[in-house]
Amino acid sequence: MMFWVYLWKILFVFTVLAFGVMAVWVTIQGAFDIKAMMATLRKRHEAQGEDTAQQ
Amino acid sequence: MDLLATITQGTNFSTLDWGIILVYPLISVALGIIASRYVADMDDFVVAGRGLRTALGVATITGTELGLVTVMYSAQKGFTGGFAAFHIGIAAGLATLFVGLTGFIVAGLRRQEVLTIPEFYGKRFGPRTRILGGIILAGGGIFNMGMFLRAGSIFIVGITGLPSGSAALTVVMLVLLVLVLFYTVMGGMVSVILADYVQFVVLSFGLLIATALAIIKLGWGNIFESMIELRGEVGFNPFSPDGPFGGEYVLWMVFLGLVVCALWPTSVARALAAESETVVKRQFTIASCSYAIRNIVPYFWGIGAFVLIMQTPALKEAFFPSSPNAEAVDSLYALPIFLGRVLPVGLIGLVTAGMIAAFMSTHDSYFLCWSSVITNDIVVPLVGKEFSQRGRVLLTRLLILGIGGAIFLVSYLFPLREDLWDFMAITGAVYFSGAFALLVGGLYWPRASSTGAVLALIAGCSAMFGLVSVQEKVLVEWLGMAPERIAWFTSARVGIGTILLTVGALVAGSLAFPDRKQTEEGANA
Repeated sequence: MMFWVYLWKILFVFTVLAFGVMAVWVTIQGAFDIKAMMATLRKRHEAQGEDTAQQ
Repeated sequence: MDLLATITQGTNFSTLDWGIILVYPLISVALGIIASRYVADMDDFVVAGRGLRTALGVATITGTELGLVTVMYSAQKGFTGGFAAFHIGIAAGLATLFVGLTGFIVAGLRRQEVLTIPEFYGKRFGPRTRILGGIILAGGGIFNMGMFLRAGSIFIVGITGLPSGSAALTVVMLVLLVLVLFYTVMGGMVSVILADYVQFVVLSFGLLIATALAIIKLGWGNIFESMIELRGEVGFNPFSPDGPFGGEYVLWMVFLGLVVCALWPTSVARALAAESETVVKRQFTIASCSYAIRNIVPYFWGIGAFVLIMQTPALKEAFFPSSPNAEAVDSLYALPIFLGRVLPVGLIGLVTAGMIAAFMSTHDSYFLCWSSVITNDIVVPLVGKEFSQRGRVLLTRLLILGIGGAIFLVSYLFPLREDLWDFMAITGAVYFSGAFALLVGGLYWPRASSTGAVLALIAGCSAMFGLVSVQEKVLVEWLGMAPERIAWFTSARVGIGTILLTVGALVAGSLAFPDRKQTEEGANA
């Protein structure tokens, strides 16, 4: 049984630490990605607007 | 005062916490209003113009999959299964890592540039498969959501100390539902992504802080020693024949881990919204950590709740009554009662707000997913005429409102007879066992035919026999089977059996009835 006890202890600590690092990275980089996504959507709308005007 | 009301009174929930949870959802409403300015057509509404990058993709996958319901059913599994339940989280993390590294299914779907999974069925197997697949996906998915409101209401009652039978609770749930409906209808996928990001930030750090506080309160050594003393081997070894899991269950969970990330429509929706195939793979590789943690941390909380309850006489008597005639409190209440006693004022409000946001962000993605499937894959092909982009967006928005009403009814009418996780797995299997055969066959086996696909979809519906209430109705009441014999039909056995049945149906149907195009190609060769 002690094999399972040690296994779950190590896996728990490892996954929580890995998630902590990922959470910090996603929080910072995600903010930049939102800005980029909004810019992409805005460009799409402008292009669609130009197409409609040309027609 | 009833027993439940007595034990929920021990919560640290205060007026400050109420203030936090009342203000927080308004942020989502504001995001919906902002996002609505960026939505012009169906591509914007359903896949955010396919402009999703890696970090935001990870945030939105986590925001959707780490919902309040996930936390509730996972904590219940940790409470009843102990550390042995960790195998479910590990299987989910490894399966997602495999999908991320290989692009299994998700990269192939992204390459097809479809909006929904049934649209792929249509491209690969023809319109009848698309419509049938759409009906099964949306029907199974909406039924699968049926317990969400109930789980959410149990969490709010347990953590805030609200009286369980009061009208206030129904009002709270209705208000939440209306808020989600409002911002999903307004902004579609763009507002869903923004809300998911905010929820990711709040809930990720909330989870980590709450876990640290739980360890400080109960003691790291005490948690493990208590479990060894109270549960012994079965609390740690998932393969133990005396425990609640066993080899069959572990196998079923490995498959479910694969399904949840590669086949579940809300996860796939993120893959379809990604900028490129490379982004899809990177997104799933990094998110493998989220898929593991979304189960493992709540299991740990469930285990913490078990230790706290066993060490508090009044709580122990409520959950494990000494009198055989007394009714035990539902184990779903263990988590909110635990958090209500472990977290301090202020943080409890923030974590609750994060959980409510998680509840909302899961709902918004599901509403969007099922409604877009009904519009694109059922209504439009059945009506047979071209819909304008504006017409499709309007129909999708109306359907979101209809689905909201439907899940409100299911939540209050359907009797839950199994663990919440097992209910979710079985109702999900109605859709995903057929989808597994069709997607793997459709993407990787050129001989898969439309007849085989239809047979596999129909075979997938047999997963319903995994629900205890269906077994009692069909096997005991209609077929006269002895009630004690239905215990053999565990969710794992029915689930694995359904998968084998669907794969068998696809292979047999495809070999017996190949598509005409393939037959002609074979003759020409």
